[in-house]
Amino acid sequence: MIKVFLAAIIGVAVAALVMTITTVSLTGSTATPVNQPLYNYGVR
Amino acid sequence: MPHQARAALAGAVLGLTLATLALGPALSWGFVLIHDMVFVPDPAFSRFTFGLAGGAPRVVPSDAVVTALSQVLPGELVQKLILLAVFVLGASGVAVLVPSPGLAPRLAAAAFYVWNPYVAERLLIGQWALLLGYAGLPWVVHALCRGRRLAVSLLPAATGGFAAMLVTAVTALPVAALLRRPARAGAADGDHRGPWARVLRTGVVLGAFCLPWLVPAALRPHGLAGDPVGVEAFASRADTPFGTLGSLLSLGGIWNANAVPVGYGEVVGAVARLLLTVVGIAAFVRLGRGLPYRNGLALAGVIGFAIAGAGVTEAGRSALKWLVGVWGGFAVFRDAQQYVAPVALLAAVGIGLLAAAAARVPGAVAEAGRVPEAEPERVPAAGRDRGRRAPAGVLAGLLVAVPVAVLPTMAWGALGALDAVPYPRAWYEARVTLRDDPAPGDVLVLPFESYRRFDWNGGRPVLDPAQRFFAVPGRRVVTNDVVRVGELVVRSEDPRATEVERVLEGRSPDLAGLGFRYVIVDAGTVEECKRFADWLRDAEVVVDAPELRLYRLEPSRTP
Repeated sequence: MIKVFLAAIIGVAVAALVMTITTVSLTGSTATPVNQPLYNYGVR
Repeated sequence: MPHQARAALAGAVLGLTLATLALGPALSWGFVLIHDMVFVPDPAFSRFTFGLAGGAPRVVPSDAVVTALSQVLPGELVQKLILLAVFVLGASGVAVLVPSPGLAPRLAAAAFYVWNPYVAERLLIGQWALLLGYAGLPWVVHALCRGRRLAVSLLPAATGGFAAMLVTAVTALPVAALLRRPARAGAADGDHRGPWARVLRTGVVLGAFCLPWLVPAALRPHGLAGDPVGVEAFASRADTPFGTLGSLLSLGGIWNANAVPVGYGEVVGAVARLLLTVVGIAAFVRLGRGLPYRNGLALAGVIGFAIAGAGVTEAGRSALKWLVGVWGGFAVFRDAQQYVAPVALLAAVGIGLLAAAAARVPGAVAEAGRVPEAEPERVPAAGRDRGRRAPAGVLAGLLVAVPVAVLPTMAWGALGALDAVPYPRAWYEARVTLRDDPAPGDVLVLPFESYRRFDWNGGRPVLDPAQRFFAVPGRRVVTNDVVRVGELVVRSEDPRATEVERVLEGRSPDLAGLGFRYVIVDAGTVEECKRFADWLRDAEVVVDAPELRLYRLEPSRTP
């Protein structure tokens, strides 16, 4: 039972890996948002 | 080699490997400058280093430790060693803490602990000092279980300072209170003291390590004034489709939208990260019944999660604002997401227990009843059923890669968000000028804002390094400590910065009259630079470069 459960977790992780890489490849990987206020610590 | 030492070594190697993968370009020569992460070459001790420059002592003693290390090593190397240490310490600590005769479950837990949204987001917001405390947490729990070396285990958090120490206290005190005594009265390992004695001892050691920043805070002439606006600005926020609480449960939920890895909101990845943490927590609760620290760490997780989620509701935010209004020291709870650290630790241990159970190692549960100092030979079934264990062992081994798979964009410096850059030559020239001038007078840094987006730093937001870079004996570097978050403005805690800000609102401020000998302009729009040049038209331009302009005010104008 635990083995099946672990296999499922690994399957979901592989799916997440593929989906994330696909999404980032399609939308770009700019980590630093552009056009942010010049002196802000960050935005919520 | 004893089993614990082997586990620690394997964890350290894994931590180093994951650190290399996570930091990537940040390990090249230069300085990583992002948000609160500010390191400078050849830093000098100053009043700022010890929290005596006017603002709250947030960099005590972390800046002093970095400055001391930088006396014998290049600053670039000091920064990289610290960042690597976060991964190595955290991974090796969890590897030691998980009771398992096999290495794979320990390494699965270690990988989860150092590769998750908490670490990614705190790295991206530059809070290396907090992460030092996070990395030391498993060692603190381990020391509490053994009843010795608590002070040594607290050194990473003590180096980190107030945030690291508070996160550690939230974990250590419940563990000390609810620690299960060793089953054997004469056992060499384990703390045989009663709960009150353990809590008292832990509290005293924690309190002693807090003195470096508690004393300067207590000595402030105007006390600690916290701005309740900070509660709104720094409250946890939803960075996944599961709301704020779901994001916190995924170990994310940091307030700053800029401190989140690329592609973090992608639904399948978000589901996988939430699932992994929930599975880890469930496994900890179900399989960790025999762990001596189980109840304490569970309580720490509940407390940490409650603090992190306090700002979710209007009532919670109002309560926090009231507390901050009563005493500014309570502002330490405004950036609340950092308190989910104990949840990360217990979920990591749970992942390890699950992997051990899957590998059909009865020791995963049986050994859990003992202090985590188990030797593999004590586990009767460790060498049996090797054939049956093989596929499950492979699965357990694969769990090491799962944290990376569900958060792949943490890799390679979060896809370039963390990168090392050199300081411009003009910065060095300006520092030499400040150092060589015997005339007295302080240094003002313009624009009078706390954060910058330097072109030479790839436009990354960073706390202005000028305060540290231009620290030279005999001069105080005055920068602003007002913090802007979107439309919110968190007020200054430094009376002199407040005074300077008031004077700068005038059309032609008398900067020499304020005690300044030099003015540094290290950023600004074209309009701002023109305005500063107009204010300083009578001053001598000592360094003039695209990255920085240094003005020297005429001595005759200095009162």
